[in-house]
Amino acid sequence: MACERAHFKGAGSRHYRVAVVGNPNVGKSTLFTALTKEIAHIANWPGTTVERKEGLIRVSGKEIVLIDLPGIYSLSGISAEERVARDFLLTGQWDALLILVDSLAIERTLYLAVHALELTGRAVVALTKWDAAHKQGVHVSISKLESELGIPVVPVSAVTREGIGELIAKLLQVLEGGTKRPLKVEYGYLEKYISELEKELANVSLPFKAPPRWVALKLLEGDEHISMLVRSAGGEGVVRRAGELRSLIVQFTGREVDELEIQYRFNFVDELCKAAVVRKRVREEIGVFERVLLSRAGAAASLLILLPLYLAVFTFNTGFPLTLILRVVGAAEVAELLESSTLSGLISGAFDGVAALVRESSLPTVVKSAIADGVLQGVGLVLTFLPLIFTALLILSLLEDSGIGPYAAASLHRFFQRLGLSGRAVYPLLISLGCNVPAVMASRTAPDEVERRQLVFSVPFIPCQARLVIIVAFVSVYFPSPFVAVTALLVTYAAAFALFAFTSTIIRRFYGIREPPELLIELPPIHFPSLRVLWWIAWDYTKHYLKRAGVVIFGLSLIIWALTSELGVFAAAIGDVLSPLLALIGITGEKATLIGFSLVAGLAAKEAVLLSISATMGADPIDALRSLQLTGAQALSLLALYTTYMPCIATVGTIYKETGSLKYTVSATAWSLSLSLVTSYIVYILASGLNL
Amino acid sequence: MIRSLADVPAGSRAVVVEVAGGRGAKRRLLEMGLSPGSRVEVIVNGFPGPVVVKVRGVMAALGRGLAAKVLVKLEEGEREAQHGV
Repeated sequence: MACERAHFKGAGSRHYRVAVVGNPNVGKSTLFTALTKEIAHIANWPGTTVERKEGLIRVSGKEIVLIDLPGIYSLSGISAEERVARDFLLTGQWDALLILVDSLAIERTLYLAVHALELTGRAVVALTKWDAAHKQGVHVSISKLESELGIPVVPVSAVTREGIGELIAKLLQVLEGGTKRPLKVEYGYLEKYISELEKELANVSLPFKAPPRWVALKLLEGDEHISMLVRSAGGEGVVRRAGELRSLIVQFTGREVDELEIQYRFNFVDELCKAAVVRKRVREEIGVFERVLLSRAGAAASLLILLPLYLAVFTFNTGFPLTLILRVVGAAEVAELLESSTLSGLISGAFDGVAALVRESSLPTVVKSAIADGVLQGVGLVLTFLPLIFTALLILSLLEDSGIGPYAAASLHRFFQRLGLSGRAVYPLLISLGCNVPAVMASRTAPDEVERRQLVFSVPFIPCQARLVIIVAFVSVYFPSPFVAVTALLVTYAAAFALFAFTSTIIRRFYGIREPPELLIELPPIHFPSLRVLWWIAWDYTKHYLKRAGVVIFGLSLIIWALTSELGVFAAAIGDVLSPLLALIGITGEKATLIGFSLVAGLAAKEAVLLSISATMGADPIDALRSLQLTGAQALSLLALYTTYMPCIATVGTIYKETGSLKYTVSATAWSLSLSLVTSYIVYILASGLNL
Repeated sequence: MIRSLADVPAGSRAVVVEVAGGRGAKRRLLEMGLSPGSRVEVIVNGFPGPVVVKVRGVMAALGRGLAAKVLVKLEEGEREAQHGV
């Protein structure tokens, strides 16, 4: 696995690397924030969209780099997250483990801890949410846990900061101490087979770091990845023997080895809990809020929570959809006033102001255009998304961190299942109706890697508010009667949604998965989230958007400027290049050049489509559209094309940031473009057939 | 009496007897704590929504397909419990 050895380079000082291991919902991000001042490094794990965070602790002249492994339930390597975590642990590029155990759910979360401790004894266990444990009547004998596990156990609370200092001190002790034996779990019936394989493994020099006993068990259960690694190291014989023993065990017990293994490990956990944990209150009631979200009305209740939140985000940032409502009721001036006083409005207003100053200056025309329409437009484009991303992600983390998210996901699951998605797809879908950029970022809540890619590919088909403006303009010019207008609007949205669903299903098939995702989701108690964590996560992603996506977006917008600038040589040519395609739907000559040009201009931002048409025709957008004199079929076909043809460059930049892969970014863009062209052509054929 | 978790009425407690299903699904269920011998409490169970259980101190929602793969034995004193939410 390609993995940089370190991202932090202290000037000659020793720095340690500590991998943080824990289940989802154990309070990992909260503890991470409590331990480190900020996330110093966010990236994706190589070859995946699973994200990787690193933080830094400075203590008595030493540096400890915390590497946050994804939240997982085990090290079996079923999900991408588990594979990432396990592969990293096997590289041995860490000096110790920090293992998180939820003190409110020790009986479950200790399982992963035990699993990890079988790999190494150089570890510290943090018992999280310690403040809440007292309140809920959970009592834990720390010394008993320590003696049974053979490592330091520190109860901590990120809320009260209790135990944080001690945790760091214990961590440092382990880091500076010598080697320690891994934990030995009793595997009963499996023991004799494990020790046989362990002995045979002594002759194989393993290409990764793990105790032979651990490897023996993995071979016995038939772990493909480990078997492959051992085979490649010349352990062909051991792997074959493991296979024989496995069939023997299945024959005798009627159970798979991994089933037995999990059972024994849970038995170990149960024994440990019996000795070290006392729960006073056995049956606790679940809250009213939780009950409502899980009832039959749960789906409706979830949408009732999610919709207003996102409407508020968009109204605050761009005025949408309030501005649209105001325009429909005839209060266009109020709508404009509102729009210019929203965050995006204020930012782009400021940039327009500076651009106007540049245009009036005495600089040469080319320089003026380059600064005003190229550089300033590009920077303005990147910055207008900042507040939107920040607030959309703030809401997203609020939902996830408070625990509302998982409940909403569970209640909406059965609707999304038909699209090959899980209930969590509700966030990107809702956000995308406002703007695709934060929607692509929201795909991070997807439960697995494949679903995340499904969303990254399919979300850009959902018309954002900029495209709604185009749809409304087209409809009002070419289908003015109210009934037809509303129908055309709904059909456009339905078609876009169908493309979303189609793409999502195709991508799932592409990864060889036929079944819809099964729902298996943990429901943490709903609680007031840590504001520090929310702020921190939202701010961090905004910062990283700026760094990673920002550069791409800025670069692309410069290219678009160079292509479309009226000063450049490309402006005329660019329209002509696309003319043959437009000829397919019967649009030729000057009209084709104009529309082809608007398609390229629209890549910078979809609203530029109308602006470029109106600028060339020298009329307001509606009149300019009308003077194109398209037939009904052409208008519908173009509408389909404009709505779906390609994600805008801000979305392309964000797709690149999220996937970290040029290949995926290019394929997602190419997919969207080709599917859109095909759809528009089909729409034209169908509409022509209907004599529209 | 052994039945699937999908057929256990809300409010009942049961003990996991066996988990069926493909390797991946089975492993996920087991590692979420639904291993044989674990006690589960069914919190919500209404068609077509998910089955919500509490197991090993954690609440979790299972789709009906997955819940059907978990075979359980109702605990003593729970047998007279009625079906439905």
